[in-house]
Amino acid sequence: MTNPSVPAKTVLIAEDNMDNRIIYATMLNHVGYTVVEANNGAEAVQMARTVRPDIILMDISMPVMDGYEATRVLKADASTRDIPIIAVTAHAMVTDRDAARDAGCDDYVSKPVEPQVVRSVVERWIGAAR
Amino acid sequence: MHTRWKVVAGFASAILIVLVGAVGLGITRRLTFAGNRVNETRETLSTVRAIVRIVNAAETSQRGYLLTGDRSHLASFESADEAVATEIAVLREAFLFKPLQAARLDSLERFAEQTFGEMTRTIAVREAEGFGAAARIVRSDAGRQLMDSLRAVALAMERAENGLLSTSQRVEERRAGRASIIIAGATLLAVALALAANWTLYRALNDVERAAESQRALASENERLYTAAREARAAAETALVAAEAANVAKSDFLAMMSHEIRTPINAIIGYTELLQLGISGPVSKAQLGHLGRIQASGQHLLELISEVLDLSKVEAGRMQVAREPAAAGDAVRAALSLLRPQAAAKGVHMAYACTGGDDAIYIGDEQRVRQIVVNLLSNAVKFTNPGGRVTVHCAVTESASDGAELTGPGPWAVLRVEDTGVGIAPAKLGTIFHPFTQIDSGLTRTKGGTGLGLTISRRLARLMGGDLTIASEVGRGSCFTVWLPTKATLANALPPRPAVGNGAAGDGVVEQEQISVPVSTLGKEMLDAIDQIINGYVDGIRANPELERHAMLTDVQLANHSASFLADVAQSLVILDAAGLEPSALMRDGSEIQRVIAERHGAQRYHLGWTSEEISHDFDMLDRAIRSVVSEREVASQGALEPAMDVLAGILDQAERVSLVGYRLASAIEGR
Repeated sequence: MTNPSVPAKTVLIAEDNMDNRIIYATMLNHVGYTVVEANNGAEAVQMARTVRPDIILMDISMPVMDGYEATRVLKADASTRDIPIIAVTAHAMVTDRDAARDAGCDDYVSKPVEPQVVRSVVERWIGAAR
Repeated sequence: MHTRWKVVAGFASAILIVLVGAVGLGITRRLTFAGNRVNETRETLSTVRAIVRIVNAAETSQRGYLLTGDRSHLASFESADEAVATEIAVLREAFLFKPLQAARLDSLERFAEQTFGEMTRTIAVREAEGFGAAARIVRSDAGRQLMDSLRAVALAMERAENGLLSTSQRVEERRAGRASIIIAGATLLAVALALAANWTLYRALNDVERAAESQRALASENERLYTAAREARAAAETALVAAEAANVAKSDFLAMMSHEIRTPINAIIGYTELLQLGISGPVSKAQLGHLGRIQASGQHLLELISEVLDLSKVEAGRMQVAREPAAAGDAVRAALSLLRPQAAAKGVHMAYACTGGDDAIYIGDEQRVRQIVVNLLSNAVKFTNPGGRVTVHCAVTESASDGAELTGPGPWAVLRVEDTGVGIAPAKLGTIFHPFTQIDSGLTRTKGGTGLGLTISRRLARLMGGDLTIASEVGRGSCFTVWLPTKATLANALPPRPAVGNGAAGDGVVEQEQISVPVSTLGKEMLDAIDQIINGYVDGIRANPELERHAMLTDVQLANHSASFLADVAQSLVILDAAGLEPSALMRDGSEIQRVIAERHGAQRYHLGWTSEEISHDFDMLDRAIRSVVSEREVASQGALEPAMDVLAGILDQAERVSLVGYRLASAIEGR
């Protein structure tokens, strides 16, 4: 049950591909989350520090700074350490899963990420939008 | 071998000449004898005449006494008897083998005796009765008759002697004539033989020289060939390295490309889903239907990209598979759980018997086995009508059947996926594993599927040392069998690769019955010890008295040949290993060059006069040299060499076969 007076939970989408960003954002907006977007790892770190989202969807292959690096930085930072980070990997290999875990990610999904899946993983970690 | 006869002819002419000389010598001796004979005859004649003369002289002296009564005239008469006796004795010697002459000699002797007797009587009468009585005796001619008889006999003897001489001279002449002819003939023959023999030997010498010349030419061509081969090998190596690098780049490119293609497809799928969910606005039923088709196509595209990538990796020999023991049942259960919804929705019943005693342990890559079983189950469900059954069996079997192309020893783990579906026509069975084959023009694509699943599945099975076979009957159903090795043998006893998708950071120690030395290690050892191996090979050949053809090549030539070839083989081992013992398309070029070299090698050996046994012997010596050197190096204590040596033996066998082909081709062309 959505309560307009309670602020909606924020999701930070770190993804360099525009279409993916739009798809995730559209889905999450539709179910009530507030969505902020970052184009690369560096932006993601910056936004995470300033916005303090409730959860981060971190694409792995990004320019400037990739997802692993950004995750490591954020997990090392006390102010952002507790934000759950969901790795979005292009491959479903075990090695990718392990790398994500090693970098500090809390969970992962593999592309192609269907909108439904995005919604369900976010809900699983932080509950409904309000 | 004609040359032998020519030499014999030369000797024969020499012997003939010796014979001629002997005959000539014989003739010379005969001439000497003939001369002696003439002398003898002359002496005999003179002796005979001497006798007559003596008797004459005796008569004359007797007459002298008769006339004068002076005894001093009787000097020669008194000595005549003895003298005649002496001469007669001489003649008797001479007439030992002439009976007629001996008989005449007897007569002569008698007459001589009688003559002397008569003369003696006459003298006695003169002395006693005076001249008149003696004269009467003389006038009675008795003495003269005796003398005449004596002379007649002497003449007869002379004539006979002359006759004998001329007879024997005629005989000698005839003999000499014949001998001359023989000598002339033999000499001519000897000269002719000698000339003929010499001439043919001269020509044979030409042949020998030509042979030596062609030998030299072949030897220098050999050198050129080896140099060319070495250069070709170096070029091939460079090309191979470059090609492998390109291969890597290509698969990197393929991976990147597939990623690039997947990204927009994901966008299609994502947006389509948003539309389907009505998030972008209300959607009509018709629109939903179409969106569903877009979604399905997008999924299909993703599947296709993934499988094309897989297939290209496998084809390029760049796919790596793990080789670890695993239970077939696990893969089966995982696959079944994935397809259960699909099967249930279609009303197809699924069952399996892969637990406990029915399970099978195989050596392979679990993820890939799961991929295969998923593919097979998916096909089975697709092609089985509602109400049908799909069953999976696991088992272990000792030997291959169903036309499975398996290398290495059993036993084999088999996973069977049986369905009661539509079956596949025998005509289509042959192409079913080819990419993008349509089983039935209407069916495949309507039932979905990329057309690559079976292709990839079989490649994966083979990569793991097994195979994928099919048995099918139209209207009754199909049975796909996955064969997997259960023993860590050559085909899968290689060190574990950083197996993708296997958890531990590429380090998994393979639990094998026996640690074997990897094929690439053997190759590197061979390259390190190549000088030792070559020396061993040359020594082995020199020590073997039966390898006479090899003896015609110098040590340097032998070494050159073996060095290039050995290096080739060693490199092949290294590359083969990297390609998972599956020669990639690029390796085939390298093999092509090797094949050409091996063929020319065989043709060359033919021109040098080798037999095919000697060629086989040659390869044998190489194999032995390699084994003896490598088995004494440290690598031999690191594990079992046999599996890798088997691979090497296979390559050497191959080269030997191709070399013999070249040999036979060359002999067929020359029409030997």
